[in-house]
Amino acid sequence: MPLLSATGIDKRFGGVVALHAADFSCEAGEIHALLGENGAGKSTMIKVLCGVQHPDAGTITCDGAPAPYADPAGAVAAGIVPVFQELSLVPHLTVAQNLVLGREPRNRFGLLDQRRMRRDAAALFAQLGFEGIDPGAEVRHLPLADRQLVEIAKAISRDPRVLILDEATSALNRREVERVFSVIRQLRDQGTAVIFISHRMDEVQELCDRATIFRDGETVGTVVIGETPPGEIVRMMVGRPLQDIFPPRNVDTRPSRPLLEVQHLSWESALRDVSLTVHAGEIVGLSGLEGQGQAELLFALFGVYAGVHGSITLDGAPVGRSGPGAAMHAGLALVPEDRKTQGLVLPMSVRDNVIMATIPDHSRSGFIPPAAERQSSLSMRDRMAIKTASVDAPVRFLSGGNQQKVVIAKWLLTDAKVYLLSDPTRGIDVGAKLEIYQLMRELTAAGKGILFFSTDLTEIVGLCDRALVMYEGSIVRELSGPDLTDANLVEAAVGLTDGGTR
Amino acid sequence: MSATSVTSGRAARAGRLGGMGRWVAGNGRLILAFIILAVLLAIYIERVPQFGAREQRSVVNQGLALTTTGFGQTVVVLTGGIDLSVGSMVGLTNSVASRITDSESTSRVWLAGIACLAIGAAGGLINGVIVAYGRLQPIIVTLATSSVFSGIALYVRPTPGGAFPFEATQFWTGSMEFRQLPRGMLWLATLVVLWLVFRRTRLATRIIAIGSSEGAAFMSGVNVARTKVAAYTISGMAAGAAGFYLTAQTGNGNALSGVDYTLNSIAAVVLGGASLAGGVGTFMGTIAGSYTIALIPRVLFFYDVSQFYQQLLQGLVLLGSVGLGAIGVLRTRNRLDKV
Repeated sequence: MPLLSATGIDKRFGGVVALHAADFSCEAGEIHALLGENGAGKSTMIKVLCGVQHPDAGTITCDGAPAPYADPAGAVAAGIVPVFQELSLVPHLTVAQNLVLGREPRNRFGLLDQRRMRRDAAALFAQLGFEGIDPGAEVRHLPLADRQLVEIAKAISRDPRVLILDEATSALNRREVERVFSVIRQLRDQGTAVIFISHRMDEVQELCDRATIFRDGETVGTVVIGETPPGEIVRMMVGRPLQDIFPPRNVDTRPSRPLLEVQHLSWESALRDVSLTVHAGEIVGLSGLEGQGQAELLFALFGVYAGVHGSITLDGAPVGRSGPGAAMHAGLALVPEDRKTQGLVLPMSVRDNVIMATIPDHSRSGFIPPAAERQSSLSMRDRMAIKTASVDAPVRFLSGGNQQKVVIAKWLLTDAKVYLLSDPTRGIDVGAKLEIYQLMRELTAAGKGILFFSTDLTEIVGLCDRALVMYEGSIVRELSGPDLTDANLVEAAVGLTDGGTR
Repeated sequence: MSATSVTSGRAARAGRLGGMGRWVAGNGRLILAFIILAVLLAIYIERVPQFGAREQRSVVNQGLALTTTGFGQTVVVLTGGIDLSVGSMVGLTNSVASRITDSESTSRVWLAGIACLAIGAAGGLINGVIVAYGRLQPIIVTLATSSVFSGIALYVRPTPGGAFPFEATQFWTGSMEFRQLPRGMLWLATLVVLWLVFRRTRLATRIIAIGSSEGAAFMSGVNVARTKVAAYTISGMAAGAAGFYLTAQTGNGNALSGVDYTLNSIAAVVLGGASLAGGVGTFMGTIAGSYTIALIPRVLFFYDVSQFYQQLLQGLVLLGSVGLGAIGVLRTRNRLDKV
């Protein structure tokens, strides 16, 4: 009998179906991977399992007993403990306080037992082999990798029967990942069920016993790792062979004149001596592990940071550094990673968001004629096939894919020369992805340049003319033509190949 | 993710300092608050003809009701909320207390004190329940209840009046045997001890957790709603205590006596280094902020500056303090973090 099982789970958010009749079950003493593309429903399934989201239909059982938890506290009490992608630590409390938050130890006066908190924390870190984390430090002062370790330690300290790790190792280096893996294996051998979500297939192959694959909110199947070839697993995730996903390359791929030229760009400790060129009609990919400076590079180019050293020119003219306004004026456009806070003003209408970057072009002596605004937004809605009840509807009612189209539409109106795209397809549905790929091809056919950061290797391979692999703030490798393969990207990303010295 | 990599530079810098250095770096606003207070106090003591027992008493007493109100406001601000009803609650409890006491009976004084705390707690509880379970913005909820409390206060005491036993006033606002120090200092010390104990309760940790990251607190199994209710209840109770003290101090009741306390308590909390975004702040800072606000009119008086400029100076001090405290932001290299 499975330890934890979910059957026929339905979950919708507004008009978006996140899960449809999805099934999942795991046994005690196994490491079970959840696989699928972004937006396939993995995260929603996890949230349903641990009481963060309530399913619209379906049953969940733990040990054969019904287990619909009202909130995370109920699930934790039943032994289902998640470690989420979005960190769930409190920045202004110390490491030790975070470890026991919600069940703080008290002394005989009923006050917090600070000494015991610190002692327990130190003992836990020693036991897990997470060295060098000060239990008395406030979490906001810790580097991201240490925060993830604290998060994992916090979950383990709750003696889980089911431990859920959702992208919980993304910021860790190889040695720390090894450390965490050995802890996970130990837990499995003691009979804990571990649910593991990662985008790194190599990690899944190395660690997991079985895998359940999700696609478009439905369960595709469960396989035993090692018995199923990785290629087959990928096919189950994607649902179709790779060549059908990406639009054909433009016929003339010979790069013409350089558009964006960047030399010796450095910023704080996040970017180190980065030089690159984007030619007209070219898609240049930015790859590497997450958090190696790719998003920061795009921010630095777009004037978000002060104190950036090095030269940036666009079409031969230097790009202003005073802020995004200057970068925009020079002919750059940025589609940021976080569309909800940096790409859109969620409560405002599609119409208002679409003209947000071109308000001066749309206004006449300080007023925005409604007709001009309406015309621009309607033409963009049609061009980008934005699905919305009306252009007057608040953009927060749109699905992720359609929201992203609004962000892109905003920049199309500026008629930029080079588009900086920061993981534009993260968390959006397959249909919208394909449309964005198609648009990228159209833009380059029209002589624009694209600098494209993606965490999805298949996108880099399928779309880019060249790819730059970043590691700890530097470009460590350039791949193009037949060398631009998944395997080479991964090899370069972990910093093992030439130039990737630590 | 980018914000994290930016702060790591600051963290590394803080890590290089010793424990003391780290404390100073992390509590710049708090230290600044006490420096501002010390400068004002020095100017005042230098100007006042004789800083004897009477002067000391009057200075301590003048800031005490605001400090008490500020205690509760600090707790609410730590959750990331705000309580705009504290001033009305001071007025309401002041009015009720003046209805209970007369010029003779000291036993009725105790009854009045209990009534003030109970009414304050009840009002705060109502605020908390509406904010936490009604999921409404604290600013609008407490603005609305503020009007309600004021209305009840005017019903209880339409015109200022009432009486308070002279001996009780002497007890609450007079001097102690010990070196003729103001008894107000004892009350102040009591509040400090209360705070230090409170800081070490589960509730305080959870209040900071909610203000710092409500999502993370919720995911850790913290009962967010109940914690908020507790915070607003403490705030109401503190305002009730202040209302009682004001009755002892003035010897009568006035439905509108608390008007200034709402915004002054928020100013005091911010002067003391708290962040209105929540998660950061301490009652120690609020004490400094409250006494800064209480001292400004006294200093102006001795400089022969019209009382009309009091608001102006208070505003400038607040702007200056918050501005100095925000200097760190200018060094931030991520323009997105400055917005």
